[in-house]
Amino acid sequence: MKTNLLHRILIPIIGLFLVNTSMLAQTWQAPADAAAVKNPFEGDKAKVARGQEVFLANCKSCHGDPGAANFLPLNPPPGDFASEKFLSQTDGALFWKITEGKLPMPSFKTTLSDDDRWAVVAYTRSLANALPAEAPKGMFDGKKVAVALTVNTEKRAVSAKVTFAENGVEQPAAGLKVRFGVKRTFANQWLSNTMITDAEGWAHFTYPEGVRADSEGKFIAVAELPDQKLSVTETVTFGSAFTGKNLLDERSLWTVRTMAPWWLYIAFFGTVLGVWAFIGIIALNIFKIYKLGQTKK
Amino acid sequence: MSATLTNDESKTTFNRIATDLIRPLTRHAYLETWLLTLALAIAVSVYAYYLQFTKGLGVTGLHDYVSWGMYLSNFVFFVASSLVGMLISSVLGLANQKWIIPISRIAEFIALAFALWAGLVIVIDMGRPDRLLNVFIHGRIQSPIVWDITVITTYVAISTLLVILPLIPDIAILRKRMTDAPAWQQTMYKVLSLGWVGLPEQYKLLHRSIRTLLILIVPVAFAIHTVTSWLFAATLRPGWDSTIFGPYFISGAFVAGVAAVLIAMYFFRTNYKLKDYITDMHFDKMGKLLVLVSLVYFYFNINEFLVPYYKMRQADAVHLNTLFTGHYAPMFWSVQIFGLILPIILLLFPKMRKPGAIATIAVFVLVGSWFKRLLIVVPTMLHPHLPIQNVPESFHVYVPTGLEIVLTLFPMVGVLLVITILAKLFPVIPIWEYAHDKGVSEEHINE
Repeated sequence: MKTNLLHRILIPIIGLFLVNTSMLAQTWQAPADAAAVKNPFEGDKAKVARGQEVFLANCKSCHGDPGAANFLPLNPPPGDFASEKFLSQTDGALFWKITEGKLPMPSFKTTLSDDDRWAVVAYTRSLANALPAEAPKGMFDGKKVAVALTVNTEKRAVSAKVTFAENGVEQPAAGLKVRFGVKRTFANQWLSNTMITDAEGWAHFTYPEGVRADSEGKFIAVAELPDQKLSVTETVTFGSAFTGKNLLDERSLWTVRTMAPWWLYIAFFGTVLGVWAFIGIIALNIFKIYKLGQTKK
Repeated sequence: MSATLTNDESKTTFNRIATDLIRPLTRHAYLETWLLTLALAIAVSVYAYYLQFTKGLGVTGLHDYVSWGMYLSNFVFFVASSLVGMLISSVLGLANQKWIIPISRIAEFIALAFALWAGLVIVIDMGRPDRLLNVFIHGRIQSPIVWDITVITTYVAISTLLVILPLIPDIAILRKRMTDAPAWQQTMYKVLSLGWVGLPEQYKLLHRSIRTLLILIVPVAFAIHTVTSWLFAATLRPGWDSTIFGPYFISGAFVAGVAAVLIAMYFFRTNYKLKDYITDMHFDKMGKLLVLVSLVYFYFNINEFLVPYYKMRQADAVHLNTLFTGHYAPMFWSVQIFGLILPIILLLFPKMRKPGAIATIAVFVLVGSWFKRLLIVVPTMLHPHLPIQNVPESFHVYVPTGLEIVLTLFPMVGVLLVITILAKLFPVIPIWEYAHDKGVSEEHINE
């Protein structure tokens, strides 16, 4: 009986399950009717901005910076929002996929409103024209690429002009990845998305307010070309001044002896003096014993 | 007071006791040979120290990683062995255990000798001993090293007083009876007896002082070995980063100390012919005490090794594997089995608590205690949190040199010398306390 049950029911079910999942893994198609739905916010700039906000809060952690192809290495790969794979899909298909999800991609049906999901679709669509095209891989291999930074202190902006030299002539390097950040003690703190240099070789970044800087508001801005393993720095003055608390200014167990905690002085000298007071009393007793012996004589 | 004696009985009993206990101070068979041996060993050690002092610690097996080797292990062993004075005289004495009277002074001698030399062991470990002064000039009150020096000094002072005070009435007896001794010795007895005549007021002061010291030495002894353990436990290193290092060290100290006292008891019983004073009963009781303190220490060992072994944090795992199955496994298991587990089992049998057998077991326990300190100090030093790299191959291991072994044995010779001198100048059993306990009247003790 048991083998029969296994053969007749369980194995076909398991088989079906395996076939289904492997088929689904290969392609993820939105149903035709869902794919045909139009984006109600098409071309709405305010919604594109809202879509970017939602994107940064909910999507970026896996999908990475649009155009930078720095999404998480998951299986199946999350993919880049600015890639052909995404942009070739209809608005309705993108909306359906955000809504339904497919693990490891979660469903946003209940966490994001319909409007927000459509806003993300509008934002995705806007990426098609906004992003400069990335240069073909290997185009700058073996060429000397240089970066020059210009700083606009009032606007907290840093611009990188990327050039390369060919046959002794300096030319703008278009389509290279650039990112901006702050040079910290052990690593760089990246503040910008990965950008692509435009046709003139420029990439611009406006630093947010309140970047922690030294006591004079200075910090070292850094622009990096990750593919070229090239980075340049510039000390800028528009950070927010920060004076750290020096732990050695407090009384504690780990500082110099003049900064020892009061309780330790009291405990240490109190105990030592207490014990030695008793030793003193004993010494006095010995003297008394001697005196008594003398008087007896 | 075991029995009420008649006046005559009291007098003869006291005479017998005093004669028996003073006799070893006048008969010196093989004493010259023994002192010569010690002097020779000290001469060799002083030369070895001269070499180390002039050439630096490079003549030892110590290096950048194992900067605490045999010397520091020796220090911990010395501090540990010195705690026994507190255990016997204070803990048992204050609990009114009268049987400890004949062995209390032996314990005090051992405590004082080990405590005196412990400080010197540290100086031997220093490449620049002149810098010891820096501890006093620049020492931080926050540093356990400063606490350690403070508490060791205090402990030596109290131990010295605990040897001297109960000696006063005995020295007065010696002053009267050792009239054949050399003049310098008689003068010394005269000075040290402090004009003791046995007045009731003198007795009162003496008893009160001894009692104060016996209470005072308990926290100080706990402090000395707890602070010594903090020299290790106040770090994050695998094997030392433990919250129970204080009690772990103290319980281990009692094991080492009781073993040392047992060996000394056996020696004085046979060599000083004190079979009637240090009896089978004393060995039996000390044997039971050794089982007790060993069981406590065993319990702390389980905590100290099983809990980290269960967690196997990365750094701890390297350390524990070296101890359990690696380079130090033969030493580790020998120490645990022959120095702790087997003695506990054997001493449960009354036959094994007879003088000869238990003294033999005590030798194993004491030697095991020394190697246990080495196992606490050295393997941890070989397992720093950052890997040992870009250093000579010899820095990956610790191999003590012959000179280092000589200078490790040197303080032990010193301890033997101190005990020899004390035991040849003063009775190893307190005459007055023993006589008093046997019912001799104070009048006869003082006469």
